[in-house]
Amino acid sequence: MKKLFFGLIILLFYSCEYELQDDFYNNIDKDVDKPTATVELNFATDTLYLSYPSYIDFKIEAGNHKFNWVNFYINNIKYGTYYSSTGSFEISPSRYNYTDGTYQIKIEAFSNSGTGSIADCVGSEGFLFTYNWVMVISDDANLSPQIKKICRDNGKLRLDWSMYKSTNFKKYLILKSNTNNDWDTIIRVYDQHTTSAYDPSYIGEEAIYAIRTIAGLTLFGRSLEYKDTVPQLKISNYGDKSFKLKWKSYFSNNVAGYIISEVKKDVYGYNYITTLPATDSTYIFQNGKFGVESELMLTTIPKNTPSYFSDEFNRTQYYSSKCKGIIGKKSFNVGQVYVPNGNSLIYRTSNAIFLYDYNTRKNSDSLIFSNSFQIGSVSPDGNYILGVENSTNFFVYNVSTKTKKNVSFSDITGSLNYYYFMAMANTGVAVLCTTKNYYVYDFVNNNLIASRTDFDYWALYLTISADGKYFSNGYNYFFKIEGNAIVQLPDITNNLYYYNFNPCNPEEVIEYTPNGSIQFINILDRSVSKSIPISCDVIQNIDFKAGKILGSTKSEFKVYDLNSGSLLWSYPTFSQTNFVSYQFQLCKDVIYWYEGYLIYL
Amino acid sequence: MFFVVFGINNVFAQQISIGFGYGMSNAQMTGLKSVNRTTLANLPFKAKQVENFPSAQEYNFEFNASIFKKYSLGVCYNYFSTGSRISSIDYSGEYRFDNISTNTSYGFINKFSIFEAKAFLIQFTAAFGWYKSKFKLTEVLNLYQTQSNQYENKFESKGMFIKPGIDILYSFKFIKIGLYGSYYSNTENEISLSRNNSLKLVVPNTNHKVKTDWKGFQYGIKFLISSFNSKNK
Repeated sequence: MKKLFFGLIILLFYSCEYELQDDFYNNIDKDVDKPTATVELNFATDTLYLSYPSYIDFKIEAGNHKFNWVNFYINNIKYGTYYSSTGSFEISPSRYNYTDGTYQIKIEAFSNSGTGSIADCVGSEGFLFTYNWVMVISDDANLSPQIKKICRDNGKLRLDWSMYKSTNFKKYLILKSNTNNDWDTIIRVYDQHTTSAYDPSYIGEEAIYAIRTIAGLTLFGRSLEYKDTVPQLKISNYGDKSFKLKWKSYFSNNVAGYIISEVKKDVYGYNYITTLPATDSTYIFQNGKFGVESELMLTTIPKNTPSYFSDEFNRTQYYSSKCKGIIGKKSFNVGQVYVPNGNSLIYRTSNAIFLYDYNTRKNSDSLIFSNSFQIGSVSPDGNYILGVENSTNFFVYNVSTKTKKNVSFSDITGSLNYYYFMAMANTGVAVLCTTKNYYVYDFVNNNLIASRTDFDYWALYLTISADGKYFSNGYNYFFKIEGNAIVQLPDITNNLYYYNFNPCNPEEVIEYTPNGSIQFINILDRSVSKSIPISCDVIQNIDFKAGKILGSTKSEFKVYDLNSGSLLWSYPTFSQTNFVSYQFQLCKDVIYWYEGYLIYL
Repeated sequence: MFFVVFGINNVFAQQISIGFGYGMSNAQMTGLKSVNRTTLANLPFKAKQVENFPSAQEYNFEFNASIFKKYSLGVCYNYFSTGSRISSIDYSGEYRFDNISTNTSYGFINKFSIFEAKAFLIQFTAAFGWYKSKFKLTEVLNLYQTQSNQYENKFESKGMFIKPGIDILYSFKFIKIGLYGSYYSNTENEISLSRNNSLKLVVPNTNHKVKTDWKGFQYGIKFLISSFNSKNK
């Protein structure tokens, strides 16, 4: 009995375990509206382009509501459930499960209800949001952006490319090269949606562009060549001694300025002339060289130079434009100009001879030919024009009477041998030369005055005194016509260069020493009537009416006073060898170049 | 030792007493309260600590024999149970995190009579011995009556205790009735999972090991039945 009593006591103790009774009732309003959610995806388009390996970064927000998990479906088959406490979910379809192709994908996102209830807080109560997209799985290369278009755009070069449509985008790099080997990164774009940019270094040169996309992997686009036009230099004569240079830039926004240079004639290189600002598009180049073709170069300086243009040679090659021009006013388009000591100069065209009155500066007379012809000589006073017509006749044109006479070769020598040289005097008497035979013929009276066939050398050229009594064959040998005989006079060369007979004194010849003096020498007694110091290599011609001498060196034209020898005028030129006499003719303060250009003193 | 004491008692004891006590007890339960605080703070929904180890009923039993005139020695037994609850109930479901803690102590009790006047007796008591604690932790989550999750784990802990106190008694024939008051103090030992002692109860987040802490005052009424030895007569 006692044991039972104690047993019951102990059992009582054990049965007196503490009992919990209180509870907390939380009154919550369960009626809440479904929120509006906003979704962000790490894709640039509505279609999700995935390359390997990449991922879908899905972010959803709806005010204060929390999204704790999403279900991801591919072609209505659940791929997985993803959890997050921030509303951002990274979904990575395995590259091994899906081949390249198009898939329907669905994302179900579950938000809490926002009531604050137990179920809400543990993620068992909320709202379901469903989204559907098309997903394209493709190889990296197919997703690589490509340059689609390169074009001018308001003074700049615009490049458009296809957008990178997949994930993990970091930046676009636009590369530029001129050789396909040495690439320069000219543009960096960090916005995936930006698919165009301007090349700040392009000014029209030939270039190759490529796009490189950095997106976890580096994707290489195909290169694309583009060539536009660097500013092209155009040259035109401006007055008689200047060029007007013009150019146009289609990429003016990228131009820092221009350099004008003159291409050297004798060696490779350029003579710097000036630097111009980017706003300029014309330049007057003054004091260009006369008597030679000038070549000028425009080098455009870009604001930004690609790194592969490491030296000036490269830049010049790609950024320059050259243009040729000739200083002088366009004149007679002829190969022969004769400046006799009269009122007109005589020039020819392909089918006519013109007399140009240099007082009125108008043509005063013309002689039209229907056959081939060649002017052989003009008398010093300009009254007779002697030439060959149709390779069988001489023609003689009397300027004062405006009459033309033809004499057959055979009428003079009995044969049709061609006459290479001839010289006409004021009297109408001319000396003619067929290889080594000399003839003196009176074209006024149609009379062969003299002939000589015992010379063993050809003439260089023939000159005759104004009165028709003396002539020279160009070797400083002078001959006198005595009756029907041709007599050689004693040699008076004295190592001087022969120029011509003095048209004002038939017995005087004009000879000169390069960079020495011009001397008027009597051919009979060798007396010197006048000596004028000069510093030029060649005597081009003497304008006796104006009293001026035109001489030339390799780099200058010089005009001296015939009486005092003082230097009156000079002008730059260029010639690798000395000019030949009569290439340039001075006549009444105008220098005529037989190429058809003139300048005024 | 009990039998040694009884042996002595057989020689010198004059009186044997059997007593029962019933009263209230409180306990500091420092570690377990920390578990509750952290659990409550970690809950994603609104909840409350509706009970947190309040003062609760305490039962004790003793059997002793007087060895000297003013000193008696015996054995004692003590049982105490309390608990805590974190609760939340709303339209969507309910959540409870309950902790039922019980402590059973047994050992020796020494009594010193320090005042006797007629029928009144005041005794200083000093008990010491061993304790065994049990903790039943139950976490319940019911949602929309469709989802029900319940996790229950039992823990236990063992150690030593000491409990000094005072009894104030009134004698009526062989019955003594009175009041008692004592302070219970125990060695703080780790709390282990019952089915696997190597797993310890820890405070969430901090992982600090939870230790038993039954320290606290006990008070109540006491009822003793005494018997008289013939040697005393």
